[in-house]
Amino acid sequence: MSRGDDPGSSLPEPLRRVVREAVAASRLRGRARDEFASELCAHFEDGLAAGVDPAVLAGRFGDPVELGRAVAGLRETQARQPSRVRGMDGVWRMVRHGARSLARSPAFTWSTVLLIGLGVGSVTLIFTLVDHVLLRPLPYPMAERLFQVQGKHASQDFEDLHQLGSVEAWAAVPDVRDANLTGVDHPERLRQAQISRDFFALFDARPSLGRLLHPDDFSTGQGVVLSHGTWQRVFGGDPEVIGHDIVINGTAATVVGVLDASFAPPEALIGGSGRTQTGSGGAVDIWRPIAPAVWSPPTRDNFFLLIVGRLREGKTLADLTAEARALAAQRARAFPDVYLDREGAVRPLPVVSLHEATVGGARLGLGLLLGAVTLLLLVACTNVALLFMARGQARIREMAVRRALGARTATLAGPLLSESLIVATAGAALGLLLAAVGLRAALTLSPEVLPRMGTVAIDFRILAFALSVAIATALIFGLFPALRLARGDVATTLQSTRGSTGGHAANRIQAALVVAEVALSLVLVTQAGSLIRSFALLHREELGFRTDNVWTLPLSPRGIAGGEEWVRRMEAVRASLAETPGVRAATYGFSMPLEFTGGARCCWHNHPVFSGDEHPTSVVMHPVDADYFELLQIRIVAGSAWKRNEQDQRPRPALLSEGLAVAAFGSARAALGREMRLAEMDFRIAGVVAENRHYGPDQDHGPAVYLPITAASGGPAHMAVLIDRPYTGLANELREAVWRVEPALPVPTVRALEDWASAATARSSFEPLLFATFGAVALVLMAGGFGGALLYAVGRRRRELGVRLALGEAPARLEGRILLQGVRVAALGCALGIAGAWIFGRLLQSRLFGVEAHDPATISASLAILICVALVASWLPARRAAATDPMEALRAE
Amino acid sequence: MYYILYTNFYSDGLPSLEVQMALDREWMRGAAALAALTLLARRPMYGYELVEALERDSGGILEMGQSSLYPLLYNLEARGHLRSVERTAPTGRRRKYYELTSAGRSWLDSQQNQFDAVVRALRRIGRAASRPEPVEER
Repeated sequence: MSRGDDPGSSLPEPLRRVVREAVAASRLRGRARDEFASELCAHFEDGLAAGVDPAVLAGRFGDPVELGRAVAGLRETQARQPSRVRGMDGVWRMVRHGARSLARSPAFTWSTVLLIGLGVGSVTLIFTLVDHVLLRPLPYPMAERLFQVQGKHASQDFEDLHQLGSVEAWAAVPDVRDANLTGVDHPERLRQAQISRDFFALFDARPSLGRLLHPDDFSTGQGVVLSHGTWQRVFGGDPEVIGHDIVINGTAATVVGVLDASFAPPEALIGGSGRTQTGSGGAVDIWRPIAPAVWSPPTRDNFFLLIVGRLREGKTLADLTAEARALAAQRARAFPDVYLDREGAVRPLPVVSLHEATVGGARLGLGLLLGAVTLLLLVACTNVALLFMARGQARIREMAVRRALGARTATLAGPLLSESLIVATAGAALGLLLAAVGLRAALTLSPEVLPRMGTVAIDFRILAFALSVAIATALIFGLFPALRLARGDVATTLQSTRGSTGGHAANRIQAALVVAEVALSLVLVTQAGSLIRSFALLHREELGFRTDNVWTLPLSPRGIAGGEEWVRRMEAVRASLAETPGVRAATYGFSMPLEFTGGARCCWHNHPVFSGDEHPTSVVMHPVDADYFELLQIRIVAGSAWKRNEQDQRPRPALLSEGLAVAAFGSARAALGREMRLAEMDFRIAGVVAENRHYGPDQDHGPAVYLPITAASGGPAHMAVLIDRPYTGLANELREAVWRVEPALPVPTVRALEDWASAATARSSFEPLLFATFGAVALVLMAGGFGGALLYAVGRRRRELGVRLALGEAPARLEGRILLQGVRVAALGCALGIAGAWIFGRLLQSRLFGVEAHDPATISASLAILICVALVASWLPARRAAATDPMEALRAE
Repeated sequence: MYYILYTNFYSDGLPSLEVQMALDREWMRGAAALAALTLLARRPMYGYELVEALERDSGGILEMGQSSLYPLLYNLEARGHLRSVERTAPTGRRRKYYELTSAGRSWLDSQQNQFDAVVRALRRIGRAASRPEPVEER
C-alpha cells in the first residue's frame, strides 16, 4: 500500500495526523503526493529512531497545514516557470495556464481578440488585393519584358516599329468588337478579337483542341480559334466543330482550334477600360487573324491598333524609349502631315510596361485603401497595446511581490507570453475569417472594379505579415510589466504602484497611444466622410432621363448596308417591339444611356461648323429615333424634337446639348433655327436638350448633337421599350418580337435600364463603402480604447479621487473634471489628426465628385463626431470616478 | 550585534555561538537558504539529518519550524541549486538525500561574497561611529 493511501501507517497517531494534514493541504496527486508523504514519514521515523518523544516531534515540526500550503504554492510557481518546463508537456501546461488566466478576464480577452481580428482581417484583405492586382507579375513567360506602345496606331506604324533593335517580338490587336454568329439554333452575339501573327506566341497561348492560327490563316483571314468557354457554351464542347465552317457577320470562317481554358488574355489589350456593357462582357469568344486587307497596303492615318512587344534580353524600357523617340522624330520629318499635330509637336511613341498598362489605373485607388487600412491596423494595434498595458499595470504589483520572493524575469514573463500568443492566434483566426468574408463581399459587390480580379484568393504570406504585426504588438505590450520589472528595481516598483499615479513612463506611453489613436481615427473618419458626401452627391445627381420601366436590347445588325433598307428593317423591329403585350412604346438609337460607363464613349465624334466657323471642341453625335426623347423623358429646354415625318427633311433637324448651344450661340433660345454643318451634312437646330448623364452619374456628358438615325444608319440599333410593368417572360417576349421580323439578329441582353444604373453606381460605391466601413470600425475601436484607457486611469487614481471626495469635492465636479480630461486628450489627437487628414486628403482629391478633400464642413463634422465619441467614451469612467466611495478607496490602499 | 553573528557563521570552524537570540523573519528567510546550502556543501544529507544539523551547528540561532525546511529544499531544488537522490542511509533505510549542484555552489559563493561585503561595510561604519568626531578649529 502506498503512503499516499494511508500515510505513515507505522507511525503513532499524532504524527500520522500531521502527515495526513500536510499532504491534504498540499493538494498533490499521484507520485508527487506519495513522495511527499514518504519524506514526511521518513522524517518522523528518523525522529523516533533518535529517541524523541512523538509529542515533542509533532510540536517541533510546526503547522502541517502551513507546510502543505507552502508546497502547493511552490508547485504553482514552478508550473509557471518556462525555464523549468521541458518539451510539449511544458508548452501545453503554459498554454493551459495562459488560457485559464484569460478565461478569468473575458472582457479583456474578447476585446483583444476582436481588435486583432479586425486589424489583421482588413489588412489581409486589402494587401491581398494590392498584391494580386499590383505586385504579382502578369501570367506570361518573361512578363517583365513585355511592354505596350501607348495609344492607338496605324498599320504602317506597326511595320515601322519592327525597325527597333531592342525588341524581339511584336503583336497588334484592334479593339475587340462584337460579331454576330448565325447559322446556329439561336443567333449569338460574340466578342471577337483580331490578332496579329505573333500574338499567341507572345502570350504563350496553347490549344486544348486542334491548333492555333498558322501563317496561312493570316494570308487568307479565314481561321477561327474559339475560347474554351465559347466552345463549351455555344458548341456544347463538341470536338467535331474543328474543321467546320461557322458564319460570322454573314461570312463563313473555319474553326481551327480551341484555346486552352487556362489562357488569360492580356487585359490591357482585351477588355480593358473601353469595355462596354452590351452583353457578352469583356471575355473574348473568338480569335481571328487581322484581315489581310489591313496590311495591303498598310496605312498611316487610320489609328486603330493596340501594339505590344517583348524587349530583347538585357534591354530596358529606357533603351526602347530612346529608340522610339528617334523613330518618331524621323517619321515626323518624313510625314509631317501625319506625325505633327497642329502645334507642330511630334506625335510620340510612348512605351510603358504591360504590367503598368494593365494595373496603372487601379494603383491610386488601391494605394488609398492600403493607406486607410494601415491606419486602421495602427488604431487596432494601439488599442491592443492600451488594453495590455492597462492589464499589465494592474498586475505589476503582484509581479513585483513575486519577484521580491525570488522569481526571475523569465519566470514572470512566461504566463504573459503564453497569454499574448493565445490572444494573437485567436485574433489571427478571426482575422482570416473576416478577410475571407470581406474578399467574397468585395468580389460580389463589384467584380469588375479592379483589373485581374478573376483569380484573387487570400494570400497566406500577407496573413503572416499582418499576424506578425499583431503578435509583435501583443508581445511587446503584453510583456510590458515583466520588462518594466526587469529594468527597474523591485522596491521602487512596489512603492510606485502603491501610490496613486502608477509608472510615469507608462502613463506617458499610454497618453501618447490614446492621442495617436484619436488622430488616426480622425484621418479615417474625415476620408470616409469626404467619400460618402461625394457618393451622396453623385446619387442625388439627376441622370436627366428615366430609368424606371425602361428595358433595353442592344442590337447590332450586320450584313445590312446602311440607308433605306437598314432604316426599314430596324423600323420593323421597333414596331414589332412596340406591339408586344405590355409594351407602351419603343425607340432606338446608336446607344442607350449607361451602356458605356468606363472610359469608353460611343460612338462618333466630330467638329461641327456653326455659321462657317469650326467649333473648337469635338462633339459626340447621337443618331436617334424621333421618339427617343419622349420615351426616355429627356427634357427639351428650347424648341422641340423632330417628328418622324420630319427626319428626312433638308436640312435635317438636329438637337444640341444645352452646354453646346450656350457655348456656340450664347443661349439655348438663340440656337433655335440656326444652321450647322456636321460630318459633311447640313442640319437645322430644331431644339436644345438639357444635359444628362448618358455615360454614368460620375461623368459629364460633354457637348453633344442628337441627329435623326436616318442620317447615320448602318451602325448599332440599340432598342429601348417602355413597359407597363415588368413580368416573368418579358425578356423572352421581347426577344421573340425581334426574331419575328429579324430571325438572324442576335439579342445579347434584355435588361432593365435600372440594372444598368445600379451597375454604374456599383463602381462609385466600392471605395466609399470600404472607407465608411474602416471609418466606422476605427470609431468603435477608438471609443473602446479611449474609454478603456480613461477607465483604467480612474481606477489607478482611486485613492486620489477618494481623498478629493473626502475633502468635500462635489461628485458632479469630479465627473466634469474627468470628462474634461477626456476632451483634452481628444482635442490634442484631433489637432494632429487634422494635419494627417490634410495630407491624406490631397491624395484622395481625384476620387471625389463635387466635394473638396479639405472641405471644412466634412472636417468639422468629423471633428464633432470624434469629440462626441470621446465624450461618450469618457462618460462611463467619469461616472465611476464620481461614484467612488472615499472610505473604501482609502481602505483598499 | 548582527554582523558579529554573521561573521562567525561564515567563518570556517563554525564555533558554537554565545549569543542566543531569535532572528527577524526577514533575516531568517535569507539565512536559512544559505545555511542549508552551506551544510549541504559539506556532504549530501536527508531531511531530518539536515534539520538536526541546522539546529546544532547554528547554536539554535537558525532553528526553524522543521516543517519550513521542506518547502525551502523544494524551492532550492526547483531553482536548480540542489538535486535529490534516493539512496540507503547508514541506518539501512532508503532516504531522499539532497546534494548541491554546481549551479548551487556558484550561487552560494556569490551570496557569501555579497554577505561578506555587507558585513565589512557595516563593520567599517561601526568603527567610524566609535571614533570621536573631529572638532573644527577656528
